[in-house]
Amino acid sequence: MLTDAWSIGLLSCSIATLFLCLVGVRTGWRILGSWDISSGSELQIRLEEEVCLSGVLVEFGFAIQLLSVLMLILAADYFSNILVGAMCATGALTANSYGVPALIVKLLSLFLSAAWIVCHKLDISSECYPLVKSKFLLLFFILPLLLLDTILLVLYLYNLEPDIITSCCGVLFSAQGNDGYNLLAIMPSTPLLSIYGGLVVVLTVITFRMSRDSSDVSVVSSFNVSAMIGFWLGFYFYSLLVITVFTSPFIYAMPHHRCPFDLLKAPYYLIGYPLYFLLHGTVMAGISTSIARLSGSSEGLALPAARFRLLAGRLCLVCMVFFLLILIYYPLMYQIRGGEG
Amino acid sequence: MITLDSVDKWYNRAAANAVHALKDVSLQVSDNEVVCIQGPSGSGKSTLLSIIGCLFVPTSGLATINGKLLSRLPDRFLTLYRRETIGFIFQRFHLVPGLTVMANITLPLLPLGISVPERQQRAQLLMEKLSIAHRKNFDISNISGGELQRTAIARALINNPPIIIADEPTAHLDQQLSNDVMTIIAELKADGKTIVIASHDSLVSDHAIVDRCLLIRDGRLHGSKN
Amino acid sequence: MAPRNVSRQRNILDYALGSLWRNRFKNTGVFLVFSLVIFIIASFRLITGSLEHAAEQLLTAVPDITIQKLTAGRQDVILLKELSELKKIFGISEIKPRIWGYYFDELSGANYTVIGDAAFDDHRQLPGISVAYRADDDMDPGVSRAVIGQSVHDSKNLAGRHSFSLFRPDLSLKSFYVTGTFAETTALVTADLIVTGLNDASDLFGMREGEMTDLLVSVRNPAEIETIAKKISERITGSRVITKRQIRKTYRAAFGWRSGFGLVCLLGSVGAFIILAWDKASGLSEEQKREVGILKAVGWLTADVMSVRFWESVVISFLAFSIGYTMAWAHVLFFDGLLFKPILLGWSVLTPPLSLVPVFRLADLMLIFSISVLPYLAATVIPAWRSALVRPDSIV
Repeated sequence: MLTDAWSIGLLSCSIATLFLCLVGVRTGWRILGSWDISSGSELQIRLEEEVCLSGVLVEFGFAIQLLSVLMLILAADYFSNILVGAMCATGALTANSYGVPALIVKLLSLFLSAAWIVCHKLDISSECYPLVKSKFLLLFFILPLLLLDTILLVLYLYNLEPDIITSCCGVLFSAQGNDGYNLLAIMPSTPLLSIYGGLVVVLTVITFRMSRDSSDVSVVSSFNVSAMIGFWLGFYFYSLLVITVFTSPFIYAMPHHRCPFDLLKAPYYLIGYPLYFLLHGTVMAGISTSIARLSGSSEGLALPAARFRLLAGRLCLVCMVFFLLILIYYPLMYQIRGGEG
Repeated sequence: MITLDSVDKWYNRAAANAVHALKDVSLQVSDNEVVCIQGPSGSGKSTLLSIIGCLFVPTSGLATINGKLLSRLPDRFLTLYRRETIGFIFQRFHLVPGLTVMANITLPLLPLGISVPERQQRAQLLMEKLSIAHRKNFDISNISGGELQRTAIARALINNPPIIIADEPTAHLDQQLSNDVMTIIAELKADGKTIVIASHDSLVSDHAIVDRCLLIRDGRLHGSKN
Repeated sequence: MAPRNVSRQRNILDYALGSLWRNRFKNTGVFLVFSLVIFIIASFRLITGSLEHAAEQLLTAVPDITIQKLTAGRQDVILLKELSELKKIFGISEIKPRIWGYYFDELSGANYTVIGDAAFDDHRQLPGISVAYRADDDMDPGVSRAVIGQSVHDSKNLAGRHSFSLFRPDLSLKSFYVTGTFAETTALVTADLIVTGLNDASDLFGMREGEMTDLLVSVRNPAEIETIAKKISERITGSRVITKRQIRKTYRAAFGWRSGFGLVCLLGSVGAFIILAWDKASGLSEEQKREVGILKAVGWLTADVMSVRFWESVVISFLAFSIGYTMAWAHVLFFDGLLFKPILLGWSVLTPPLSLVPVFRLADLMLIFSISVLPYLAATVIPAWRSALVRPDSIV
C-alpha cells in the first residue's frame, strides 16, 4: 500500500526529517574534526554559524516527527478499515511485524531529538559552546534511528495487504497474531499499579531535588543522573502499558478493548490528546532536568543550567500531576459510581 | 573603557587576494571620551571602527570593552553584546528602504521582544529630541539628507548604548547640517557617552568636543593630536 | 522568558509581513505555483472523500453476508436447496435468493448489471434505496417489470418510452416495463443497474428453476457476522462468503489506491515545485543582502533573520494552502471535480452521473499539509540560513 495517500504523507515526513538530520550530521562531522573555539579563523566562524543552522534543522525535524507520530496512528486507524481482521489502529499496526517497531523507533527518535534540543539551548547559552561536541555525537545516534524509522515504515506499508474480495475466496479467517483489537493481554492490576505508583513517587522526589541541587556533579552522581534518563524512558513505556491495560478499558467501558489509540477518537472525547500530551511533556521535562543537571558543571553553564533545571523541574511536576489525574479519573469514577454512568 | 592590544586584522588570509587591514594596533579610549580617527581612504579606519563597534573580531590581538574580552567571542555573543553596548552610525546611514522613519528607528528593538507601545514611546522621545518627530510616518525615501542622518542617529541611540561609533557622520552633509550633527554629538558626550568618530573632515577633528585625534595610515596608528 | 519569546516572535512576524509586502512581486510566482499544487492534491483528496462518503451511504443497504458458489475458480450457480443447510445456523434472521448477472448490449456497447430480486417480485418496490417510481403503472401484473439506472435509461433512449427489450440466450426477445428509475444520488452503484423480479432474471439468462447466483443472509446481531460467515463457509463447500465489511473495505481500497496513484503521479510536480522554491529562496538581490546586513549591524542575530524567512515561508504556505484548498472545494462542489473525476471514477461507457459533495476531514488537511507545506518549509530552511549569513560589516 505504498501508493496510498497516507503512505505518501508518512514517507514525505520521514524523508524530510532524514534530509534535515543528514545536513546536521554533515556539520557535526566537520565540527568534531575542526572545532577550536579559541581560533578566529574563517573555518571556525563558519562552523559557529552552522551550529545555529543545526539547531534550527533539529527543531524542525522534531516538529515533523511529532506530526509524523500522530499521522502514523491516524493512518493505522484508516488502514484498519481496509485490512484483514483489523478492528482499529491496534489491528492495523499489528497486521505485520513492522508496525509496532516503527512506532517505537519513531517515539525514541522523538525523545532523542528533544534531548538534543535541550543540549543545544544550553550549549549556545555559554560563550564557549561547551557541549558542542557532545551534542553532535548525540546527533550521530539520532541519524541511524531516523534511517531505521524510514526503513521500518517502508517495510510496514509495503507489507500491508488490503482486504479486497478476491476471485478465489471471500472472507479470510486466517489466524492473526492477536485479535486485531487488543494490543496487550490482560494483566493483574494490583502489582502493575503498585510498581507504577512507586516509580511515580521515586521519579517525582528525585526530579524535585535535582531541579534545586546546585552542587557539582561528581562521577557517581553523573552516572546516577544518566540513569535517571533511562528511568524516565522506562516510565514512559510503563505509562503506555498502564494506559493500555488498566485505564483504556474504563474509558471504552469495555473490559476487552485494550487499545491505546482509540482514545484519540471523538467518541471518547479526544481524551487521548491531553493524556499523551501531558505524558510526553512530563517525560521530556524530566529528561531535560537530568540533562541540565549533568551539564551544570560545564564551562559557563552554571547559571543557565540552574535556571533551566528549575523551569524544567516545575514543568515536569505540573505535567505529571495533571497526567495522573486524567489517568485515574475514569477508573476512579467507575469505582465511585459502582459501574457505568 | 575600550582597549585594543596588538590587534591585527586579515581578510582572505589564505587566498591570493589577502589584505592585511590592521597591523599591530593598540589604543585605549576612556569612558566619556570623544576620540576622532583620521586617515585616508583604505587606511583601515572602517575596519578599526568595526572591531571597536563589535561588528567582527580581530584575527589576532586582544579587544576588550569594560574588561569584557571580545576578541574571541562567537558571533552570536558578539551580537548580543553589541546590541546592548554599541550604537553605530554608518557612513551612508544604511536605513531600510520601504520602511518609515519610526520603523527604522525601532528596528533594533524588534528582536528584544519589546512591545509596540514601548517601542513607539522610546522612539518618540528620541525623535523629539532630534527634531524629526514630524516625519515619523514618512517613508525614508521622502525625507531630506539631514533628516536621514538624524534618523540614523536615533536608531543608534534607541537602546541607550554607552558607546557610540560614528563612521564619517558629516559626509554627504552641508556645513549647516554638519554643525547640527556635531551639536548632537556634544549632547551625547554631555549625557556621558563614549564616542569614537572616524572622519577626514576637519570640522569634526578640530571640534572642541573631540578629546583626542588619532591618525591611521596603511593599517597602523601613527600617533595622535589633541 | 516565555512571554518575551512570544513577543519577540510576534515582532519578527510583523516585520516578515512587511517584508513580504515590500517584495510581493518576487513572491507571487512561488505563491501561485504553490496554490496550484495544493489545489490539485486537495481536489484528489476531496473527490476520494466524497466518493467514500457516497459509498458509505449506499452500502447501508448491502446485505450482511453474500454467498456465492465457485467451481474451478469461477462463479457458478447455487441451488436453492442449499438453503436448508444454512437454516440450521443459529443467528441468521433471513436468507434471500438473488440472481446477479451481466448483460452485454451490442447496440450501445454497454454492460448492464442485472439483478433479480425476490422482494421485487412480491412488492414491486425496492426498500432502502431511492427510486423515482412511475405513478401510472397500470400494466398487467404478469408483465415483466424493472427499475433501471439513469445510464441504462439514456443508453436505451427511453425518453418517451416506458419499455425496452433484451435478448435471451436463444436470441428471443424479453420485454421489460420500466416502473421506476434510480435516483441520481445513488448513481455510484446504480447507473448501469437493472433490477427485476427473480423469475424474470432467471428467464432472461436462461437459468434452470431453483438456480441462483447469490444467497443474501441477514444476521440478527451485527457482532456475529464474522462468526456466522465462517460457519457458512464451512457448511457449503466451494462457496465464496463475502461480508458487508469486506465490500466496504474493497471500495475504500479501490478509491484509496486510485487516489494514491494519482498522488504518486503528482509527486513529480511537487518535486519540481520544491526545486523552484529552493531556487527562489536561494537567490538574494543586492538590496536584500544589504537589508540583512543592516539588520545584523543593528543587533539582529542570525537566528532572528532566519525567523523572518521562516515566517515569510509560513505566511506564503498558509495563504497558498487556504486558497488552494478553497479552490479545490469549489472545484468539487460546483464543477463536480471535472478535472480529475475520470481518473477516480473510471472510463467505462456508463460512467455514473454522480454529483460529488466534498467532505471535510481533518485527516485530509494533515495529509495535504505533509505532502506540500512540510517539504516546502524543509526546502527553504537552508537557503534561509544562507541568506541570514550576510556579515554585518558587509555594509560598512
